[in-house]
Amino acid sequence: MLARMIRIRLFESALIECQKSGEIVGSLHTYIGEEAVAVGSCVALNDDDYIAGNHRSHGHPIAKGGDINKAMAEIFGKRDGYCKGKGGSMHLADFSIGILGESGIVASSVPVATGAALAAKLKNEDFISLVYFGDGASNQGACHESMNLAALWKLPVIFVCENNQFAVTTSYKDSVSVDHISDRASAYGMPGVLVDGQDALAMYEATTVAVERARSGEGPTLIEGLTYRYEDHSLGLASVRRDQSYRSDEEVEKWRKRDPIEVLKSNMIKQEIITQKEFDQIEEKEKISVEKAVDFARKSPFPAPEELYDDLFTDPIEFA
Amino acid sequence: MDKNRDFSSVGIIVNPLSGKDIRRLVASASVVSTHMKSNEILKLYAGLAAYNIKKVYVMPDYSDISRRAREQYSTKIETILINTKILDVEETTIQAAKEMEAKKVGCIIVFGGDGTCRLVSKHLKETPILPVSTGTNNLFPLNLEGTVAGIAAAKFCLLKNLEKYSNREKKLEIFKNNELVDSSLVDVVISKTPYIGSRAIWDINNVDEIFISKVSHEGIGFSSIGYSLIKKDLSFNRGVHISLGQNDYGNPKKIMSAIAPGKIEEIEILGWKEFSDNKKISVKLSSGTVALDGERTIEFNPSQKISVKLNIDGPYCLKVKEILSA
Repeated sequence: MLARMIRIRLFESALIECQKSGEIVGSLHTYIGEEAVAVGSCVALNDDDYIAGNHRSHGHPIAKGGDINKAMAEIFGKRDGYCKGKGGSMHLADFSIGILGESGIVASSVPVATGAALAAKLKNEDFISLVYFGDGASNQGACHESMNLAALWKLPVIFVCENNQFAVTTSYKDSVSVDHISDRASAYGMPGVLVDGQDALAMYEATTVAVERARSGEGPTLIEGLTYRYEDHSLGLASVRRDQSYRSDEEVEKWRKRDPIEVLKSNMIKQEIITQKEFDQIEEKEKISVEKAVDFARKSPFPAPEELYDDLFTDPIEFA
Repeated sequence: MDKNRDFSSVGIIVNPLSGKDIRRLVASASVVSTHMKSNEILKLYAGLAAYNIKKVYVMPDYSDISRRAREQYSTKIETILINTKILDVEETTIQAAKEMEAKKVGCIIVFGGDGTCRLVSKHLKETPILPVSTGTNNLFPLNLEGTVAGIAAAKFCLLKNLEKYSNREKKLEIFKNNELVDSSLVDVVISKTPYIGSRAIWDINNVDEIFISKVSHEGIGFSSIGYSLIKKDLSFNRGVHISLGQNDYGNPKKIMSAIAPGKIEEIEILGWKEFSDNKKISVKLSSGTVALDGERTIEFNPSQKISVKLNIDGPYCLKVKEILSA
């Protein structure tokens, strides 16, 4: 759990550097500060369970055990990436380990994951699905419709709202009609729970219970992980990057003091599960693997122009 | 009579997060919505205004739970929001409780569960509280309607008699290597779970020992195990210590108990006995967590010895029945 959180942090930090140097073009939405939500929930899943992400989803496939070489290459737009370099930052998918993919269209993955859960039910199979969406997405119609159907049909899906408190620059307190997004669950007829999203173990516990509910046919669960995005909404969108008036430096600093990696690390050291030296070794190992991923991405070729129209459509018969 | 106390004012602390934790998932606990809390405060103000309370100090929160009440009663009651540095965290409650004690308010009405009452009372020396339930497992706070709570708090301020109209409750003190580190009002649960995580405790298999200061025939939560065993209320200076698990002779005592709303478990009892105040009892487990009033709060490892002591110098709580009949 700790290694995966460090991996996400270092992966995102490397991306920031590569974006600044011009190696990566386009916008990047980093996940730094929110690692505990993805990792705490993903470790409660099996490999054949599905996850679906959003525009801020580099962390989710890494938490699920994805290949950081392929993820890095994809974000670089290179041929060895997860989607052959044609998807980019918001499209990391690997069906072999249950990563359904992501989308820049806010809340659009919520019905995708709900559909995967419907497939599990119709096929009478044991897998479940889990979808990550933000506080902004929680207000979208697709989100409400999915939750309604999932509760009505008792689908094995877990809705994880990563409430990082801002939809770009709009505070959820100014845009969400209830105090906690998890409060909405009871209106759909499913349980909802507010969890400390900076604490991976708290996320793990809540997800474990939700997984048990889903697998035993009790239906969906809404988990709201209260967390915080340290960085700008996105890198590469100058107008958004410059506007920091929506939150104070003190607020950012306050949340940095409850850093999710530090929370888990200090817990493990206090419990004498690891030592500082062992933590340093884990960090060093992850640093090397991320450096290798950057190197892998740099060396990978861009897709050729004649491949532009390849892979646009899948064969529905073969896929089924 | 407490001559220094400002009996024209009261404090209000509402835990904005009570009734929302993981027990909505692992048990059948209901969500206590912010709207419901806001409505209770509105009714509380009605009771306070009717009995001439002029000033109310309120703990602020992001949702501004008191807004409707303070606007509706603005001509009768002056509301002062305590200036806390941050909102909706434990530190907010602590700052508010300390500030209200410094203002020497007549009493503090606390809306929350056992955990909220624990946090508030830990930081009060002599200000009495009226605990009202908006939590999950509530043995300490009363199931009191907001209007009645307002009347009781206001009448207490008119009566101005702390000794006659309040009780001193007991508390359980927790020591780590003989150093006092925290306290609890109802129960202390020693859990094998090595981390705090989502705080609540629901898996009875992870529970090793329970210390209880207060039981009730209608109680829910781990204290209900105490009532199932002793089948009577505890005397003021007594607590009950329960060890869970099987003994070496087989045939453990088994009881059924409601450890959370909608969650009834068969529990194997290794042994139990009552204990008196001021006797420090060491816990057996060498590492794990200590849950205070239902929430994992303290982690401990083999180098940290945990012990528990019953203390009868707990918070002052209003005697609602006596106040209303005075």
